[in-house]
Amino acid sequence: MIEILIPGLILGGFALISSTGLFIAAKKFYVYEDPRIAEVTGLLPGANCGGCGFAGCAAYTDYVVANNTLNKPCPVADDETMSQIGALLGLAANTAEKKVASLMCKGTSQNCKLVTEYTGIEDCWAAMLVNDTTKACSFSCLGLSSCVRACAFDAMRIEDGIVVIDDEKCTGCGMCISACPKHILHMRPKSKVVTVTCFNTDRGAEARKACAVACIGCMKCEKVCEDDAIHVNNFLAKIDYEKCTLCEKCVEACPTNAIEIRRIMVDAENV
Amino acid sequence: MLKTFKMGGIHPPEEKITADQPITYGEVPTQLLIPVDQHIGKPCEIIVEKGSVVKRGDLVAKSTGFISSNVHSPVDGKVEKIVRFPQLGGQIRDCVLVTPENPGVSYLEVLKNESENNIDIDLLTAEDIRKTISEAGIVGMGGAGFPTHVKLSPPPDKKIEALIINGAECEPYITSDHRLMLEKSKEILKGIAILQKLFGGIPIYIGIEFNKADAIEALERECKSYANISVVPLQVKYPQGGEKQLIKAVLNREVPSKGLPMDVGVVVQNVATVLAIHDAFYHKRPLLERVVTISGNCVNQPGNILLPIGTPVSYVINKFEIDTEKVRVLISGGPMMGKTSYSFESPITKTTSALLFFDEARILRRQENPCIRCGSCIEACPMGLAVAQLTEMIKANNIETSIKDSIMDCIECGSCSYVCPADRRLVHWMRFGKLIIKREN
Repeated sequence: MIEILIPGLILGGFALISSTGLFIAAKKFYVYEDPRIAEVTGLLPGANCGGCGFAGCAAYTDYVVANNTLNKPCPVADDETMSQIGALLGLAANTAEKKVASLMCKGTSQNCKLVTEYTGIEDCWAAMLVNDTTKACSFSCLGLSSCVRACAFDAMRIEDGIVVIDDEKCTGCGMCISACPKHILHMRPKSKVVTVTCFNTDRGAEARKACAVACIGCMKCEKVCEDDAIHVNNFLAKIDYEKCTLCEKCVEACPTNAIEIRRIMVDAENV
Repeated sequence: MLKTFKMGGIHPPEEKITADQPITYGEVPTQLLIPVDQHIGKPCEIIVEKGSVVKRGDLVAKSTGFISSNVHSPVDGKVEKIVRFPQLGGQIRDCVLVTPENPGVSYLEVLKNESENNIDIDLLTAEDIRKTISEAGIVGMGGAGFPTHVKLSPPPDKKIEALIINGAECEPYITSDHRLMLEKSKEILKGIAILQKLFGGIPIYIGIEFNKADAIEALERECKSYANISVVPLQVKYPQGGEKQLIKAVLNREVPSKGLPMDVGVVVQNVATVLAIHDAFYHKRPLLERVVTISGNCVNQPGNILLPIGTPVSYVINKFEIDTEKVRVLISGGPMMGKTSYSFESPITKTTSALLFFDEARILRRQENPCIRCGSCIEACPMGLAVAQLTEMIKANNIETSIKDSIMDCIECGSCSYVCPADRRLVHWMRFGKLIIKREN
């Protein structure tokens, strides 16, 4: 009987001493933490993507709660989540339109021919160490997956030599934009589906020689636009999404199909 | 026993098939595309515009800082336009398109018309020398293109004790420096004397690999009339022409990690650069032309030719009757460190030491296979780096450890890729790793 009692008492004694120590430590070194931080963290998607401009979700939550502001909305969270967070903090949620990444290139193997044979490391930056371009157009997407690897949401894939973006999966975190050495990815409001799919600032003839669907700077879109939303600078059209009303007149006017309407992609598996 | 560096190194086939071809002179091409970005450092600022008339030796683009270099027009002519054009290194940069007044005139005639000045070296001050070199737009002509006046202006706390003239030319195929040392040995020695004056009579060593025995003999003969200049014959080993390897071979001094040659009191200059310095003083001519080796198995009659900077490759193709249908690879520089280019219209620059044309038979298309941990790359690395491990770190994005293991000391010589039995793109991964590190800082 005593053989069981002694270890039991020793262990029980240890437990008592340790718990007293822990209790004292918990009281003495207690740091007040805003309970809202835990609640906001629970509501956030927790992607840790850094798209908001902070080091991660924890840093973002600290900023939101400490400054009591929602001026920098989480790019990944949907409107409902943001309004829930807003309700928690007693703030009106900033319901700015979601943005998605968009590629300014349509240089598929059909449209823009390969001029080099690149067999090195599968990365756009590594390819740029060898040659500024692998295709006839020096502005075109190299299709070597640097942005695909940067995307934490599986929203990008390479198809026929260029990257294709799934607008539904894209959260607009912007990580792909800094991953692209060609700077041909940009953000646009999700509903503004009309995009100029070219980044070539060469003269029309040179651009057209390099790629079949290049913007040649013919200004037809600028003339046909009734909202003053599209302008040609440096032989390249650019849409001002604040003014664009999606009338699609520029799409019809473009002689080289360099302006396109992005239909929402549906994954074949989900149909 | 001939001198060489101790660590690593490889012996690729030498292929110096143009070694006994004298330097030839072509004609003034019908069009010149003068790149304005031919050096390491800040890009130049173009000072001509469409329609400007330029004379031979006129400034086309001005340097914009200390580490930058002037660019001049090698011909009399008119500026047609300024275009973005792919360079031989693959980068797309601004070029000044010049139409010469006298296309078809033999380039030798152009050179003959220039007078030779006699200058008294003793009257030159260090400031004069640096200023003339800087204004002449002289850059390292071995391949890197680092502005020479920067190399010749060490900070006051660094004492320069020796100067090494790089005539190693360790890359296969290239013979342009070899021919220069044979045919222009007097001029090279005169150029060296100017540098000796600049550093106050320090000892000067001319490092030449032993496969250029005739060049060693020619320079040794010329050296006799100068004090404190000697020729150092070296073993044949790649990459002996690397700055750090050459210093180790000639003086047995080791440049510290992340350091510069001036940290061990040495400055290294290429022989072609020294010749350009000679021209800048004795002919009052900025850097306008260079000798280029034209070789490779697509060239029926390979040779060495003096070309004005900005000559398009297509001129060489016509001149040497190269069948472009057969050419699959165009390399500017040597096959180890040279760059490939996809445009036959790209212009040659101050750093183009060779143009190599190869056909399908010389291309190896092999898959990158898994590392078999044989350690060949580590044995071959002249900088003593653990290449196999470093490339794995870069793949795993483990940047801090790779910096700790001195990835930034890689000289990108390609010895590791050359020896790898698994055909791994080792030097490409190393360059990629260095790029990522530079990008993050």
